[in-house]
Amino acid sequence: MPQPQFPLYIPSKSRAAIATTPRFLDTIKVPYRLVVEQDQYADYALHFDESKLIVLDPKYLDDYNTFDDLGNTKSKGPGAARNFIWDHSIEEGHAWHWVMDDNISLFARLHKNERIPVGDGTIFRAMEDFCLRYKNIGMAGPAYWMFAPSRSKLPPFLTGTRIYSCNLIRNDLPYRWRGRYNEDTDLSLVMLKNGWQTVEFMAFLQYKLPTQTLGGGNTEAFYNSEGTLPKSQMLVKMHPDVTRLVWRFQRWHHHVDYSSFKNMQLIRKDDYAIPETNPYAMVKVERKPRKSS
Amino acid sequence: MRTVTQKYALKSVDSLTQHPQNPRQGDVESIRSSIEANGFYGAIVSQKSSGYILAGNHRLQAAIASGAERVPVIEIDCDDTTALKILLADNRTNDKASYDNDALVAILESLSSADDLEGTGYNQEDLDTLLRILESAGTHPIDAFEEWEGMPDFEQDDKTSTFKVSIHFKSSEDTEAFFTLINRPKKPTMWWPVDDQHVGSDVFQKYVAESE
Repeated sequence: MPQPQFPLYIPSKSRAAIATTPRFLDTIKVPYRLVVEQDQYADYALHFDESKLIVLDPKYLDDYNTFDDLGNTKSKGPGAARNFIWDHSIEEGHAWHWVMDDNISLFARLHKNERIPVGDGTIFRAMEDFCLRYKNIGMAGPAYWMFAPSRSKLPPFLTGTRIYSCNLIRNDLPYRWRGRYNEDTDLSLVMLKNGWQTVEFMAFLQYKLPTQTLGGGNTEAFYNSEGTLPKSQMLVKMHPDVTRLVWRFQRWHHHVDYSSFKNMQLIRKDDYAIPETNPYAMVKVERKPRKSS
Repeated sequence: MRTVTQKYALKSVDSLTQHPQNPRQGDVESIRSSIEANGFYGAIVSQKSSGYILAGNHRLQAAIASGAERVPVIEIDCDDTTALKILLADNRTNDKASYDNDALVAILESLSSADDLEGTGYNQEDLDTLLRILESAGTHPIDAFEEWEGMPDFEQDDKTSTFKVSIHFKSSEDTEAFFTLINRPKKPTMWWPVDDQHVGSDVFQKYVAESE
């Protein structure tokens, strides 16, 4: 069965017992590694094979550009671990890497108005191979489940937009994660502004537990206590040309205008070729109903 | 057009004062690189009454970093309000400008071929970025279905409802009577006709590779 050719990394914090992404990947037999902070290693080792654990180099936390002046007074978010992962995958000689949040419950395929979970790693390989057809894709990933309603007419992918939570990233780009919040949107915009296309696959989905329902994690420390204003303000500061602050539904939001990227094309590689036999043919098989909690 | 009263002089860098309210955050290193490659051209603009720099705060810093002792200065006679307007307008009018990228790339490529981008404010990475942006620029959005060839099958029709109705019952007896009438289990939402009700929900299946 097709497996991803690029490494999968999951930065995880304070969720050794409850992180869902690694557990789902285990069930579909897709290899991955968890990146954890040194002081949590022992806890994670109780739950995962140590061959799957990598300790985050603390230098990346110290050097991280939070894009504010608050230093270590609150969580820096997952960006530092993601930068470590980026460099780690380069050191291992990979051209691309996957980095995904630790609270993804499942990955699924959308087809014929059905959102059906996957039972193996085929979709990861399909996404990788799709990106490798083109010269100018910088980042790609599956859409959120809620952004791909099963009854809506949709294209197989969108371009020129933000990639959230499960990111396939081209390693030779000079950009890095930054900011205490909205790192995904920032990196997407930085790439787009520099002519690197982003691809959000609607044919492939990730189901994430809503923020804060799982406990633990990098963002637990601040989302509840300070509201949404600082995080929206930061994005406006990072990208004033395409972002504005809006008050809606009794809280602050940021609105990002992606319209300037809507006609950005995908540039096919010179050796672009479609395989004669589709290597990603998939079939539906029965699965056991999930245990109710 | 009104021309402001101004006087040109070569002045000691020590006699000039950075404007304390200047909100601009310039890239001094880039300016310095330009000064060292091209020399200091033009002049710093200062306000006669205060000595504050209205245009060229970062150029002065770059000039000092390049070892300058004196710089050309145009001293203008204006009130403080006008001075603040000039301080802003000098940068803001620049911010509002855009580029003809084709023309820009043509110049950069001609300089790059002689390996001489130094002092332009651009480097080879900037040129590569511009070339990539030009190459990927289009007039229409991508045809995602055309590009999807050779990927897993994808069909996703519009099956959203064309009409919704809310029904309110006065009593539980009325409720039971209604569901009996339409011969359907009692649920808060439903689709009609019945054969389309399971789209996208409660399917205990999974996708695996055909070869598995």
